[in-house]
Amino acid sequence: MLSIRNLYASVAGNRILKGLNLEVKAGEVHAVMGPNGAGKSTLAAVLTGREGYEVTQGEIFFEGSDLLSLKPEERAGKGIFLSFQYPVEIPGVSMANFMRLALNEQRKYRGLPPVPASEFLKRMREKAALVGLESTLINRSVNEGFSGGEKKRNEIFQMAMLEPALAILDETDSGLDIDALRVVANGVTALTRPDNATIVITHYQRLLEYIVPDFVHVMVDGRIVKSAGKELALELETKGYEWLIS
Amino acid sequence: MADLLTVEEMIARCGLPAAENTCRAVFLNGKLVRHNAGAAGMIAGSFDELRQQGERYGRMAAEMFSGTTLPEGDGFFVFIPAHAQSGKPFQLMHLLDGRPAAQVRQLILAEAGSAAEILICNHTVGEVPVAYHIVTEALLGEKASLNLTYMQQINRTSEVRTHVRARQMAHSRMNTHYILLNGASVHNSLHATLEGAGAEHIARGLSFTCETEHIANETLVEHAAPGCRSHQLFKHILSGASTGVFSGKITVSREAQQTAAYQRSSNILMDPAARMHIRPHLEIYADEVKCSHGATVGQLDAEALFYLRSRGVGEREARKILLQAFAEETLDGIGCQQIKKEVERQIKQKMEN
Repeated sequence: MLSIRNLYASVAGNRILKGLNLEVKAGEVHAVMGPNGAGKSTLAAVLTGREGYEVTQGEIFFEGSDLLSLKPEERAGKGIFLSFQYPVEIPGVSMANFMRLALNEQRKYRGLPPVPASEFLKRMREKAALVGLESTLINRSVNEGFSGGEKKRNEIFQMAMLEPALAILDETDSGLDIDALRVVANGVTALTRPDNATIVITHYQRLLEYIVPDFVHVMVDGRIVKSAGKELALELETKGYEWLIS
Repeated sequence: MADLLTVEEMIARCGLPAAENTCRAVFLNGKLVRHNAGAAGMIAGSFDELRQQGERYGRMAAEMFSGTTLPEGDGFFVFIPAHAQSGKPFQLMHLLDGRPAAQVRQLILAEAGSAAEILICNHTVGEVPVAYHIVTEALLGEKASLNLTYMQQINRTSEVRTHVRARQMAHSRMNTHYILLNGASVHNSLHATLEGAGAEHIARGLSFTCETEHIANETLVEHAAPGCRSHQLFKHILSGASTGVFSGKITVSREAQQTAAYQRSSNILMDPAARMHIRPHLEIYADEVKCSHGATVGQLDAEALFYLRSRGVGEREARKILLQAFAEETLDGIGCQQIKKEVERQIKQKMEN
């Protein structure tokens, strides 16, 4: 599904990614861990097409197409979703309108008709319940006045609404207490299917108790230095990253 | 081409309300060309008609000029008798087809306990340059409520100056809205005096300018009595090499204790050559006062733009949504849904281009 080969990327002239390789197949959950500054969030930014990130070498293919040639909205149309580390507040734009527009624009990209209003509302209610998002929040402006936990739930709610082929969760666990973490993680787990994939970017092993990965990758200084099964996360928890740096 | 258009055709261009339920006065280059009687309970007409109405209106109108008599020359008045609640908006439509400079004077007298909504719109017809000056004087009696919306749809070669002088008695409420979607040079000036205790004035402005257009919004809100409240919110979206000015002044006299007066100007520069000038000005002589001012100038939020795009919304659409959201707040308080919807429609249309 996703194939990243020898990826080099810079931000404002600073080289962050230095020859990263990653293969993700449908049905898999990958965890990307690593110390601060390893380039984890840069990877998420490059995958979603954020401005200011320059790819200097390498390639990314997503379901056969050259991802780097696509605009952010086209990548979303292809089924890529990013759960933001810092979700943005957009006063004056209601969650409901935002979601309806996003969903229908993605469907248009895939050549599908818009979702009828009644079906859309039903879907909103169901998905909000799935991630424990208060239904009153859906009637508010996007993330405006949401608590840190509510913003993260809202990201997973959007993921549930849009049913992406590839979801990238960038530090979705940060700022969540243990109860919220469980709800969010269970939401993510409930959304995994044989035909989609998830990349979980995290500092801590904690989230991976709930979202069980098939693969754990350790990123250090812009590259993946070690990949293994879920047991690697536990090892990192006890030994830290030091032994992998050097 | 302008000469070929009939008044009817020009009116049709306004886009506002279907004729049958609109009360409207139409001016051509400052001359009243037609009007209907006004909404339920409202009385409207030219100054000449006002004089003929005799003592009653004459006296009240005289009050508005602080003791002077009715002005020489002609103009238009709208009289809303005590406790009349007009459900329909009254539209003062000014059509301009390129004669030399013209000016017009409008009087609005809202007696105690009355409520009304008035829309003033200026339209140029064709591309001939026009210079126009509109003076609107409003007197609000106790507990009167008045919504006044100013819309400019003028061509890229014309200049319009508007002046609103409002005097408000105790517990009266007035909302003013200044909407500018097209206009080469527009200067709005608002001078509101809160003369009676507990009066409230909320002024909002929204402008979209492009190329070399120029907008200036100048306000003076005087708090002359205790317990009054005022709020000013002016937003400008400037593209091309257009320029904007917001010069807002609040004065709070010694008697005006428990005043709450706020002022805010938020502005988005879409292009590097666009310019915004802001001058907040507070003059406070009372002690128990809550007063604040704030101003921001920036660009569209790049994070918000990326957030929308990352969910599948195209860049053009995302920009439109963010601009609409930015503008939305300035339309609060337009009581008449018909007017609000039309303003929203025109903003949308403006953003399509």
